[in-house]
Amino acid sequence: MQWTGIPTSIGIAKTKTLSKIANHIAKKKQSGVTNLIGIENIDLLLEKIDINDVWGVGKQLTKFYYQNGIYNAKQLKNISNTWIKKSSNVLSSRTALELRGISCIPLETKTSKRKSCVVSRSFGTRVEKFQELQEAVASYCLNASEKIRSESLVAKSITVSVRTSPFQNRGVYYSNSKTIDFPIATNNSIEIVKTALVALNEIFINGYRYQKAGITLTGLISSDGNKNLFSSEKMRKLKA
Amino acid sequence: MRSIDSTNYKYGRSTLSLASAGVNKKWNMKRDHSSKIDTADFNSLPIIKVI
Repeated sequence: MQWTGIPTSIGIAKTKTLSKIANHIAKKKQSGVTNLIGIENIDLLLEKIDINDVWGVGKQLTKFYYQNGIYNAKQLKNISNTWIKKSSNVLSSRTALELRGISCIPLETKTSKRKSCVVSRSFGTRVEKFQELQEAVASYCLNASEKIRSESLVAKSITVSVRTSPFQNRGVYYSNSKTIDFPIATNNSIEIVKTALVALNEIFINGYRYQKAGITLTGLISSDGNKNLFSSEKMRKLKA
Repeated sequence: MRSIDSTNYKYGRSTLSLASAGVNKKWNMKRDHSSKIDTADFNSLPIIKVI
């Protein structure tokens, strides 16, 4: 990060909430690193942290805590857990427990898989011909299906959308979209393009100057273990 | 599909494509003002002059 000019700060502590506080402190220090592990009197530090700087305490909660005389992190740490649960909710009590060094929010070690995949572009020039729009939609489909294949996903449905420019003077604004479900979840380019063109055919109206088109693949699920009674020999061959 | 992907990976994007995606893509996004691709395009490699 040294040569990028991006300021970096590191906070180390027993829980996520505490490390956010450590990071908050680190930002103002020259070294940019703060370690809260092994510090005896954490209360002295927490006292200086405003309640609205605590991770998980937003605008509404700040207002609520102010009304009840809680102004800093130390006060929140030392307040009774049952009181928080009763007057707010379990999430707020988790924040308080985290301040005490009891980890309640687990680390997310796995990145969750994407649920949808969008490819959409504005055109370099306005498009009026159906064929050109078809080409664009087909290209976006190829792009999107390649992307989901690289992540070993299959899509359950596809949405195609087109629109004219909302800023143009002549002509009326038109925008429409169409969703089609695949009979079997797929990541096959040819099938996806074919289905997209069917959808496009339904929403295309001649005479508009289209400015943008896009496709969305939705209902993405893992492609392995995706056994289907109807997947034919032909489909298996296409996969190879 | 796998063979298409591996070919495109090896020989560059859109080496294999569908004809329905068009050849002369007039509608393609304008990129007159895009930044240089310093790391992946030979034509936009920076030139070093030694004096």
